Amino acid sequence: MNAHPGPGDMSSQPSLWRRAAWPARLVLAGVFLAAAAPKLADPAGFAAAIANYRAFPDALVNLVATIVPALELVGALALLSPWRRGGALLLGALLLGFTALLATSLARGLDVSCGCFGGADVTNAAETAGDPVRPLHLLRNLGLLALVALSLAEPRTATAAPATNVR
Amino acid sequence: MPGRRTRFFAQHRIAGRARPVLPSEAFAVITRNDLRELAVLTAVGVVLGLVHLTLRPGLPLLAAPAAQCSAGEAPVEQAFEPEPMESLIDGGVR
Repeated sequence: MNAHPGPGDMSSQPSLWRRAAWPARLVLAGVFLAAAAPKLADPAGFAAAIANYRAFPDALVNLVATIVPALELVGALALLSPWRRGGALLLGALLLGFTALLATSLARGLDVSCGCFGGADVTNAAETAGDPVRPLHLLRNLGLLALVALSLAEPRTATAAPATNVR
Repeated sequence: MPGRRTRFFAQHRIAGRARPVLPSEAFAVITRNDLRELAVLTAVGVVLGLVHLTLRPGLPLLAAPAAQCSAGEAPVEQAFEPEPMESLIDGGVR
């Protein structure tokens, strides 16, 4: 198994993986950019949504509320750059964390807002203001994880080849 | 001594054609290079998040714990009359 086929295979026809990975990366980048923008614009609202999950200590809620959207932004931009494999890994790790958080909140029977695409409306007293957590969110995350796997499945020939292999 | 590129083509070409990438190979092992990229991107994201947090005047770095009744604080007055024990004995029906 060789993960670094080198530049020789670049002359061959684009493989199915390469053709499928490009739209997968575009969709992933679009979804995460759309998710990061409202969170970056309103970190207080996202912090309120995170606090409703009761999964983090109160002191860390603001840190999580600003670092997570920044990671989403960096990962989405990296997917469109030569660092696409690192970006896909980062978004995959984030998605795994989100999925675990959603699954535990569903298992605990918490009726909270998802906060997936921005925070809950802090002016509304109800915790479920916005998009309440549903099993559908888990399915959506699993679909996004499949797109991450597809991005990682792209052979290295189609991604940035290491400079040491190019002569 | 064959060069690196020659050795590569010797390993990866079958009958003069480029060897197709198998799905098992496509889901390639996560390499050290990938992990390095992941570490750098994570560090960039954390730094950006911290900068964003410090630039937000309304958000403290470490949030205060959720409001709780302190020892000296008077309890919140109940807006309704507590139910007498007698009503619970007869099934809660008045």
